[in-house]
Amino acid sequence: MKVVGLAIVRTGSDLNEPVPLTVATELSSFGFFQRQSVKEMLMFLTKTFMKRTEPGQRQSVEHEGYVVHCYVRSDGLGGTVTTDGEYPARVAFVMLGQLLDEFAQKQGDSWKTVTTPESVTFPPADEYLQKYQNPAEADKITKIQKDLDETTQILHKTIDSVLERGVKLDNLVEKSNDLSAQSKLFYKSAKKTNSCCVVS
Amino acid sequence: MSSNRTHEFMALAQSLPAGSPPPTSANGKKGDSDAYQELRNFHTTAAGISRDIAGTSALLSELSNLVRQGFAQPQDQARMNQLVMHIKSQIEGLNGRLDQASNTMQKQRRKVGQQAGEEAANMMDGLKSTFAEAASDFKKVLQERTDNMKEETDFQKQVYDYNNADDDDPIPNMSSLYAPPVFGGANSNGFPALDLTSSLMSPGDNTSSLPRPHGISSSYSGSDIRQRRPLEYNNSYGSQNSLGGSLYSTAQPPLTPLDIQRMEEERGLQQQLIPDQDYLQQRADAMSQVESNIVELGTIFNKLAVMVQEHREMVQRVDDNVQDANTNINMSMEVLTDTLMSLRTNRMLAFRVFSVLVLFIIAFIIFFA
Repeated sequence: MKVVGLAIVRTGSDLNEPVPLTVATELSSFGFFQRQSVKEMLMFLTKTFMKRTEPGQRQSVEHEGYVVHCYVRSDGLGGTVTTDGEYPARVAFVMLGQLLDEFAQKQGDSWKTVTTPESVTFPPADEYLQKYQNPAEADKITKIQKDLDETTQILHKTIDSVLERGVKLDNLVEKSNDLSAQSKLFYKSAKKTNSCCVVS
Repeated sequence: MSSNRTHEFMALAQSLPAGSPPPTSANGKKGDSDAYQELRNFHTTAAGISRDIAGTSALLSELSNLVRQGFAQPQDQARMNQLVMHIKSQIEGLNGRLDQASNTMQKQRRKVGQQAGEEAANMMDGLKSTFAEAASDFKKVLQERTDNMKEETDFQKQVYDYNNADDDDPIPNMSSLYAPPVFGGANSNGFPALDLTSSLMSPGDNTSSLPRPHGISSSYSGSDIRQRRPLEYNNSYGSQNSLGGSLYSTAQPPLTPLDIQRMEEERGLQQQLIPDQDYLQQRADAMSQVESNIVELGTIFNKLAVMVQEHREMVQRVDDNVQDANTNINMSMEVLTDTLMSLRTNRMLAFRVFSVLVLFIIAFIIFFA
């Protein structure tokens, strides 16, 4: 489950091609010589899919085993996340949303006039990429789900041990019953030994 | 507007011999016949437009009949929704075509004879006025329908008795306002069925499932999650932001069909919502799974408590038994000490007796010696 690439893109009716503003990639799983071509492929896919995505729309497109999740906000700022097939789409979109919000916040309106590709430096993009490599850590819902699963498991174990405890308590009840019966007999025989005849 | 014979008149006018010479254009005779050809095309399109306007008005009259019936049946509601969608799409199409036609007409007006040009312009005006009339009628019918539905919801509100009426009331309708109303599958026209009624569901329906995007299965619970929903949708449907903001401030339940219409008139909105449904569905699924997990945990804890409660009795029994055993043993210890003491004392007695005897024997010996 990994995120391969991340791109923030500006779309607009004045451009015939979406302009990538920031790109971050995690290509360590590819061989050294493949990385360049993979990166170009990523950029190409990004541009193609962003062109097809309307503002305010989310899309997930599968291509050769990798899924590209695209999201364009209403003001023309958009982003794509390229992940492998297992990565949950929901987490990808959450990540995109957060990233775009932070980007818009930090850059203000300056990104609206940028036309040169990959010209904006935005270090949080790399951080986000790294953070979201493990969706369980980054996405709250996934984390909660994981915690809940753990808790359920622990509780199941607890119930098992409580059942065992019940069985042991049952044993104890029986044993203590026997004990009290025996002690009664013991008392009776002691009394008999004492009272009846006097031993010299 | 049932019979527009302008087309016939136009055809007639064209069949007149070329006695009225067209104004000179650079193209010469060939260009003129081209212009007339275009004029003929224009007239055909105009005829088509007028036919469609007639069709639209027929649908509109059916819709108004349904609306005027008052509180409608569900199948009538569905039919009304269908009609609304159909009419709206037709109106949009007609609008486009009218604009196109008027543009071409403007362009050709100079090439064609003055009379024909004027006729075309008049025809255009006539078509536009009829179309405007039809559109305004449509809006009136929609307004009437909104009023009816509003009455219905007021009536429903009075009937249902629910506890948190104050904060529930605007918010479910708010979330329904933001929720895209076009889910619920496609009807026979191939358009997503406009599910207006789901936005007006009674807020007293407190089940334990979470609010979902409409059409999947809408029911309400948990005011926190409900309050979060409008924000989520606010981010998702940025194009509706301004509208959503105004809706928030005026706090108008229920969602009027006019609002829906306005919202949907934004370009390509219908297509956007359907791909987004996946994402929202995923979120809804995740939340419902979390919720079910938590509920499961709750039951497990309950079971745990019950089991421990049972054990309490058993523990008490064990305690009693052990206590009894303890008492018994104490008592027997007492008895045995008595025995021991008596045993010991017995020896003492024997010793005393023996000593007395010995003394007696000594005394006897002394007496005899």
